[in-house]
Amino acid sequence: MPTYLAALLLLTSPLPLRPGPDPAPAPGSALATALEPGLASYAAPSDYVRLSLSGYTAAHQASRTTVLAPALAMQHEVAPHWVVAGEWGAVRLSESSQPADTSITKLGNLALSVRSLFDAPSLHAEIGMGVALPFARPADGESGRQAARAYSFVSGVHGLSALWLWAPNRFSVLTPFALEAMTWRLLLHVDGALALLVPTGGQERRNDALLDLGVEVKTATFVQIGGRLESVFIPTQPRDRLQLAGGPILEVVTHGEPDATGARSNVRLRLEAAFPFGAPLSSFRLWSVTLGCAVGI
Amino acid sequence: MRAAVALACALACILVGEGCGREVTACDIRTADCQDATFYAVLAVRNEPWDAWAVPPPMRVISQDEFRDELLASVGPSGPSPWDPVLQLLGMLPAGGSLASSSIDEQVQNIAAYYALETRDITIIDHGTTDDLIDTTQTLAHELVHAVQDRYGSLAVQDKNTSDDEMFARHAVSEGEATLYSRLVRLQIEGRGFTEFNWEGYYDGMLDTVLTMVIESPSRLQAALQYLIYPLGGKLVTDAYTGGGTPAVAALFASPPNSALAVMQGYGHEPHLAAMNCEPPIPAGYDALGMASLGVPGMIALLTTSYGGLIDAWSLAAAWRGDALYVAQSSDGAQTAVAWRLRLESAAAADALAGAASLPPGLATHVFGNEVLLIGATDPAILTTWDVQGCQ
Repeated sequence: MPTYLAALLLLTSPLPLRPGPDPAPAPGSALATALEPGLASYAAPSDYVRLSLSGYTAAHQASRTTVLAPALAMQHEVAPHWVVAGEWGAVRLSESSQPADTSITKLGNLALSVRSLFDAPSLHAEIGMGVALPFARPADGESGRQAARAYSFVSGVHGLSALWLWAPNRFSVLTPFALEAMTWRLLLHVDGALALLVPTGGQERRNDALLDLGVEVKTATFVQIGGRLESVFIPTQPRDRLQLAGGPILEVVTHGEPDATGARSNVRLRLEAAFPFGAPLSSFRLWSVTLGCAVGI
Repeated sequence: MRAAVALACALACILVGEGCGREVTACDIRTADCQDATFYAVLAVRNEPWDAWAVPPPMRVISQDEFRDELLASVGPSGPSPWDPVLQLLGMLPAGGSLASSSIDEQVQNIAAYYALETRDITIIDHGTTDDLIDTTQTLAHELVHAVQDRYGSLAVQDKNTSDDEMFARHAVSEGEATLYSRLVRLQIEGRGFTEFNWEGYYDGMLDTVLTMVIESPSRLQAALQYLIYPLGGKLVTDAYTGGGTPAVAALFASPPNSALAVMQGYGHEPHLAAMNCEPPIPAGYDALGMASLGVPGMIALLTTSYGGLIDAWSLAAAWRGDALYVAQSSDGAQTAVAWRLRLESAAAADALAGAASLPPGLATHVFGNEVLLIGATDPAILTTWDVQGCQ
């Protein structure tokens, strides 16, 4: 599960998403009537904190490689229909073998964005602008080689989605977007971003543009089960411009009593697996499992 | 239609957990698909995940004649190398031979492909000797390992100002890794695993071939330095990989062996070698030109003059514990004198070296305990007056 996109999920699901004094669903809303009782009676808060942890491990000829990538995401409403969001992660790469155990922990890039939200009875949409600041900086020498491997692993296990979070020595400009609708008791969720990645150091000299697009379908219930397809299109790549990944999702939503304004806090647990299957990534048999917990404020 | 196929592929991949990526096969290395698939296979055997910026380097295929022209153009119209008379005195270059011309002939004949650090591209030389796709795919994989080494900074250690002997050891690690991983790619093509291959026999056979090439080479030192790194480095890296996988191989790059002897002795051996800092006196009327350490390859080049002496040369070279080669030139530049001090494991080994039948006849030998001093000069008259002494 791309950590950056997980933030968008929390933001946009379930509908309606805006906090308000009246938690009751809008009369006649197809979305509200389709949702389970109770699920439609709260509004997801615009302010939240989310923590996620992605993992990968594999044995490879007398050694084991383990990748752990925690990420913290926050969002805060600054004006009606306007939020600021940020996400920052780190990656720990451990490689153990009999004569040589090594591990390295490196920061990812800090993504910050401002987004505008649009709500309709059965539809939610958002679009924004943001940047990813280049905190992912491998040093020179052997530790730099390990750091580069750590960034390759963490972006690879996610199928290159939200690449700007892990792209070493790059400053990124982003336009994140999301769209969510409901039909036939299923939540259809589309999210992604257009991004421009600009090298800020190292031996890379190429500017890259990419389109990150994820499509997710899951049941509109408290325990949401579904799947996600993720594509990353990098037209500036000389070859293999399209990377794909997919996997199942299990999500549990709980929510507390309404406060004075009628809004309810909620906790969202999400377990997700991703299996990249674009040519370069699938030849390595990468995968990842992500556990996320988001708390609405 | 393509979108439908992609979608079907995606669903199948998710359902059965199998990748829909390219599988490496024996392929025409001039095609982009072959280059990509081999590149991804190299990354996979190196336990190196692909990232968005890790693209295969540019590649080209040229003929032997084109390769020769490029080598000649890169050498330029420079004069004879000061090493020419030195190597001739040591019997490592035929009388009147030139290091530059021998080097070009050797390279044209024996180099299958190379990765250029300056331009970061791969050149495959078409020798017209094989149409076997699996051989050329393995060659491509070998060079792609160097490209990946360059990408991740593993080749940078070779830029440091180190002795020839240390450089040999570092080259042995990078060539050894390329030898191992390109063979692993080949095994993958053949549907075999790492443990299903006789690695010891593979490197023994390669060493035999390389020593034969050294014997037959007109420039034996250069041949020894250039070719021994493959079997010796390959065995070193494979032993590391067997015990500790890719992290152990990476550790070899971080802490490379300090000498050719360490590479020769194998993984886990780090012989303690005392510095050779005893400079022999320079003959009267001569100026010091420089010094070098030729290491085990130098001894092999010195001793390996016939097939019959191969085993003796190899075992005697294993007794090497240090060397320093001093070169001096007469003031007018017309004459060259050379003093090569070799330290061996024991006095018996020193005696064996001094008495070796394969030593060039023009060299004078002096034994000081476990050290041998070989001296030679283009003007043999100075050998009788050159006052040499031991360092013991």
